[in-house]
Amino acid sequence: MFRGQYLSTRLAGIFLLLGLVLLRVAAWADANQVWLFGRQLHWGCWFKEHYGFPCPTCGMTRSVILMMHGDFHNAFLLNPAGPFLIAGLIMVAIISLRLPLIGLKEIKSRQLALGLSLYGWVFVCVMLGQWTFKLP
Amino acid sequence: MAENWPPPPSPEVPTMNYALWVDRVLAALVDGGIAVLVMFVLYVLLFVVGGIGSMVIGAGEATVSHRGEPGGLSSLFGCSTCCLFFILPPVSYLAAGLLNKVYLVSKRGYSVGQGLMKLRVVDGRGNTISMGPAVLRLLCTVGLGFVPVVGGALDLLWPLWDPQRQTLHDKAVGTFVIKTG
Repeated sequence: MFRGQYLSTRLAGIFLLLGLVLLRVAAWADANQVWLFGRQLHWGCWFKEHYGFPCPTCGMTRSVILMMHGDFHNAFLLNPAGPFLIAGLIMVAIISLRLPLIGLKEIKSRQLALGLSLYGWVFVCVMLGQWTFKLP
Repeated sequence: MAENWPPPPSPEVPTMNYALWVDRVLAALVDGGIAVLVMFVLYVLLFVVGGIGSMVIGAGEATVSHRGEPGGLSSLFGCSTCCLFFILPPVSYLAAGLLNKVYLVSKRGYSVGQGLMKLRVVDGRGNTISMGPAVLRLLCTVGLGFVPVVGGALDLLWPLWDPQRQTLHDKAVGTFVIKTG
């Protein structure tokens, strides 16, 4: 009865890793701009334009892409939630795949549920926490 | 002699008619619709506050973007990657869930959507859950929604392979959803 469950979580892990690899290959960023498949994206933030200061997710796209390219320092400066997100997603993917390399045993679904939801809340707290430092 | 004795009564969980995944998804869509209504109200409120804010900050200053595009309503509804689409849905779900998923579920055993689909949220003994587990269940649902890509998807799809058709937020608090009708 658990075969389908393990297959599905493995598939989720594989898709997650593939998504991160695709992001690494297809997207590029510096501190100010984002390129997707070589084309520059012109995204703005309504919140920032309206209120004059950044929203909690400002810099998130650039931070995530920079983190995927290994530029932790600039990624952290732009939005610390970006590295936290990537680290969490990689961890979730590893747990989903249950790599025998690191000797992870079966993760009980209750622990997975509580762990994932706790991670979600911590992620939001990191995002809102860093935002408070950017407020004027 | 011993083999003639009747087996001892086991502390069995009462047999439950676990809800089908389709029924749960339909109920979730109805409950999600309520959250969307709340989100729309918050969206309009934010727009009104933003409009007032831009008037206070400076007349027309904030209604034109840095790229020279018109601001106001068009810039609000035209924004694509803004925090609105990341923050507002879970906040709306949380706000609507306090009434729909906590108060109603702990009082009568089902939310609006679950009531329509004749579903009921129960604990391991088949009783209606109290306020505490209902709050934790809601927090887990929203927390999973905050995890990009995988959180919400795993939560939604988990009953498909779970023998007791529980979602992840059910697993977290040990609740079950049963069909009553």
